[in-house]
Amino acid sequence: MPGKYTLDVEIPFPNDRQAQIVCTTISQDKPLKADELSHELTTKGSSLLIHFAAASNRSLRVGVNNMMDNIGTAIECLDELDLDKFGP
Amino acid sequence: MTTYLSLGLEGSANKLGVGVIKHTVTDANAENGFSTDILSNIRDTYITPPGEGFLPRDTARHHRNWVVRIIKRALDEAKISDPTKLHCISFTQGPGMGAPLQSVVIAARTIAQMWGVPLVGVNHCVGHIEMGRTITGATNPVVLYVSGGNTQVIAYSKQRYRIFGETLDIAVGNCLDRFARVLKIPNAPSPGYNIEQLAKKGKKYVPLPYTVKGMDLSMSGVLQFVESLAKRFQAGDLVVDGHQVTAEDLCFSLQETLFAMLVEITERAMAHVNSQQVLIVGGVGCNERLQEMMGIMARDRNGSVYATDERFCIDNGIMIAHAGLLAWRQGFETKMEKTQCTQRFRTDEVLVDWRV
Repeated sequence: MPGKYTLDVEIPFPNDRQAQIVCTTISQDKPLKADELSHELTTKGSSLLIHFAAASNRSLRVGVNNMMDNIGTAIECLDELDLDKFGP
Repeated sequence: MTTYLSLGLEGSANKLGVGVIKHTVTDANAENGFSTDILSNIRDTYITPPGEGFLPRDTARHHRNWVVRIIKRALDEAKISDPTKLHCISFTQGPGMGAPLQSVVIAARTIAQMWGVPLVGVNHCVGHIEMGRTITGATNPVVLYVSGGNTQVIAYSKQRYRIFGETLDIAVGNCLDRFARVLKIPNAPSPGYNIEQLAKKGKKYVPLPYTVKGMDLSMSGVLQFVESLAKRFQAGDLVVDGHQVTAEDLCFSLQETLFAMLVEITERAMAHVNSQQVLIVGGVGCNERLQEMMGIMARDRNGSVYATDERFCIDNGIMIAHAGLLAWRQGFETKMEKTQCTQRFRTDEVLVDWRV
């Protein structure tokens, strides 16, 4: 397992449901190079917790950036397309 | 009468498309016992400057920037005020470029969870075929699927779309696009469209390699050859038979050569499966010269050509919505933990159980 370079991120959400949705969306994709990067996603209440471990600072940076892009898309969906945005 | 609604998301290359389709089933026991309504079909294309192709990272960024806005517009136009009424959310699972596919599936997973709607992963090629069949009414055609990433001749047999012949290296659209880059032909609305317009003014046919290999074909050698001609043209010393060759002549010659090869392998597939119909799908399929050449061949065989215009030929969300809904109505669903996209996804991997 890759290990030396690690990063822990905690992202707060307005509620448990949103944190859980983003966690499920993002956790389906494993890192492309499993020997260089690993990540674990969990939720604690309304927070999304991500632990990254990488074999180099470069693969850590690339992996974190990529995941932040994906989380950004998921959050934009939550902000703009959640059920409270529909209806009369 | 039962109606079904599907939202489709497409982003396997440089087009981002979202569409909503409705199936109204009138006879549940008949393969064609339903009608189709297109409620919305929105597309946004990532266009690069002349001479440049689209790179996976930049294309993925384009899709991320636009996907939520395009979903909103597709829902608005379809007058979907309650998205929980959708029966499925269909997304392109492959084949295609990894990063753009991934940027779109993120949105698909998120809205599916928010709205409580099942996901259906769709093979991009099957999306093209099913949309083409529905729009044109072709019942059991030989399919020529020609785009920037794919070149295949396909025939249906026993619930699979079977690949009869295909490119051994690059796709025909890729060959045209890369040639356009050498001549700095603009990428808007698409390089292939601009080549087609220039080719109409071409007069002199410059011989190019003709590389049909049995049922398959190869185009990287043609590209290399025509690129070397283009460089000589740019240097101003391309004369053939005493004729000063123009950019228009090169576009004309490239189209004629590539399309002749496509017509040849399509004709052979028609003879093999004894079919009178040929359906052309994919982005290159809206080229009118290709349709014309295919028409000449088909008429000789007492057959006919079926093709669509750019709304359905060029990558779009509606075809994904359509193919996804066909599968969903058969009880197919892609569970969340199986929604990973894949760059390689063969057309014949899909069980086409909505056809007899």
